[in-house]
Amino acid sequence: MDGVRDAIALESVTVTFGGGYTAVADITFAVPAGSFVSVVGPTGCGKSTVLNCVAGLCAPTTGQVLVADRPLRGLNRAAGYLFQQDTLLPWKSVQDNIALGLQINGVGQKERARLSTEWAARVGLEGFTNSYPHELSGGMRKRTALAQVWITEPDILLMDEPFGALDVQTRQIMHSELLRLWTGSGKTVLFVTHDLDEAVTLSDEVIVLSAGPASHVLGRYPVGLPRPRDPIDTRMSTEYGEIYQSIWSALRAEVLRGYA
Amino acid sequence: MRRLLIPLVQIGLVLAVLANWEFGGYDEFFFSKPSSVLGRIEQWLADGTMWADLGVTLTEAGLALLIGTAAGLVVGLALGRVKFLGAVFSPFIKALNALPRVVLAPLFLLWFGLGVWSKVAFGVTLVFFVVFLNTYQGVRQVRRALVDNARMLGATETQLVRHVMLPSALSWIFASLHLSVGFALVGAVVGEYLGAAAGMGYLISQAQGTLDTTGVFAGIAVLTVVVLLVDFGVGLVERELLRWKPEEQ
Ligand SMILES: Nc1ncnc2c1ncn2[C@@H]1O[C@H](COP(=O)(O)OP(=O)(O)O)[C@@H](O)[C@H]1O
Ligand SMILES: [Mg+2]
Repeated sequence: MDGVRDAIALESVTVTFGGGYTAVADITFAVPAGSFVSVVGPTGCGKSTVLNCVAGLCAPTTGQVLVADRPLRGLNRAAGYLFQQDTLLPWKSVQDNIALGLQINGVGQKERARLSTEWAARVGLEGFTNSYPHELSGGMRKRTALAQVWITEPDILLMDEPFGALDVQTRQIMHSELLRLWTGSGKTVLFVTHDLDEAVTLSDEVIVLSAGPASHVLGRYPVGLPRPRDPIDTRMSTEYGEIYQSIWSALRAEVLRGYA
Repeated sequence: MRRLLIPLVQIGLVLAVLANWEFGGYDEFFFSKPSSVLGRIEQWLADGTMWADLGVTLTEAGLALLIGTAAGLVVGLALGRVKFLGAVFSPFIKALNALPRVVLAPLFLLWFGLGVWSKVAFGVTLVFFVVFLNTYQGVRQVRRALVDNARMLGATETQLVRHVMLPSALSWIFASLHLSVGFALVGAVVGEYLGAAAGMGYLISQAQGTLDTTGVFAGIAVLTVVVLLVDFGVGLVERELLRWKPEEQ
């Protein structure tokens, strides 16, 4: 992606579903190449819809998505997508699940075994390579899914509330692991969450969406915290508190509106 | 204690029914006797006539199972994956499935003759629908996220079928396979019964023709054992292929 400033750009993206429900309206924002950007907003506001548009799984009703400055047609081949739902294939072992993308792309058996063993170790799953997904905890399943996406080395990573279903401790461990993987990788991350704490801790910029229907961008908040970051130390700093407070005051009104 | 009691009671029941049948003083012309039936099977085994007939029946059933399953799989995958085809053809298939298949047997006898193929054709009409309906259902119930994930990883339509659709439909297909095996044998035996020169159904119809109740019962007993054995084999393959499934409580 040399010479490209924005890895992803959304230009006035509006999505109206078949039933006439407009989920997001006139969404415009860009994600600089190599940066970590989070999208937060109340549940049901359209965060997954935005991510699906960037993945090419959902075409905007109006507006367009640019990937490396080119309009996106069909699936986004530069992106890996870590879905909100559990997407491991129950009939494949951890190792085969991790290697799925390689297998699909025609990587040979030997190379697949080598890389997937390496990745299993990198996400702390050595010793579980022959287990089936139903034998794993929620955190281990997410780590498998993370390795499955990351092993194919996409330039762009789309993550949809990847840690939403995990308990607080596991989530913090996953934050550290994610930052460790991402740091120095040069990859662009678009990270969706409803957890502001998580968004601030991980990101260079937080984009706040309003409550639906016709959710729009309420504000964009740069997070100037130093990198590399340790998630726990980061949360202790005073700058963190200030940034968190300023975003939360905008978000709180929307969350309340969502409940009203 | 319970785990031991249940099989004991079951064995006791079987023995009681057999003993009652043997010594209950029923008219032997209509009901025969367990000892006579067993004797007949021994005789068939000894003179080797049964093996030829059993071989014919199993060949017919095997071919019906193979062709019916393959056709059911292919059509089920096609109609399940291609929405247009599914919308157009599924009402026709449902209508055909509602047809009592036995009425087709005379037609198949006319078309394919008294040999193996009329029975195979009849068995196929039974097996096909079971496999088709289960595959169709299995493919359509695959979770959307699994498909999207595989597509994002670069899967082509063929790879989707291979890595996602087929394995996902496999548990349905196996559930249906137990049924299909039974249907394939029913197809073969009923077809033979209606018109054939060999096979277990032919054997039974011959026995009936000579008012030989013992022969009819012996044929039924042999078929029952064969079905149980084949079903056991299917169960073994199923256990091996569905190892990934969590144990059900
Ligand atoms: N395929 C669809 N058809 C109709 N409505 C949909 C569809 N997908 C999502 N929606 C609706 O769009 C809104 C936004 O959904 P989503 O993007 O999943 O929200 P979030 O990820 O922020 O929780 C929700 O109200 C949801 O019910
Ligand atoms: Mg969502």
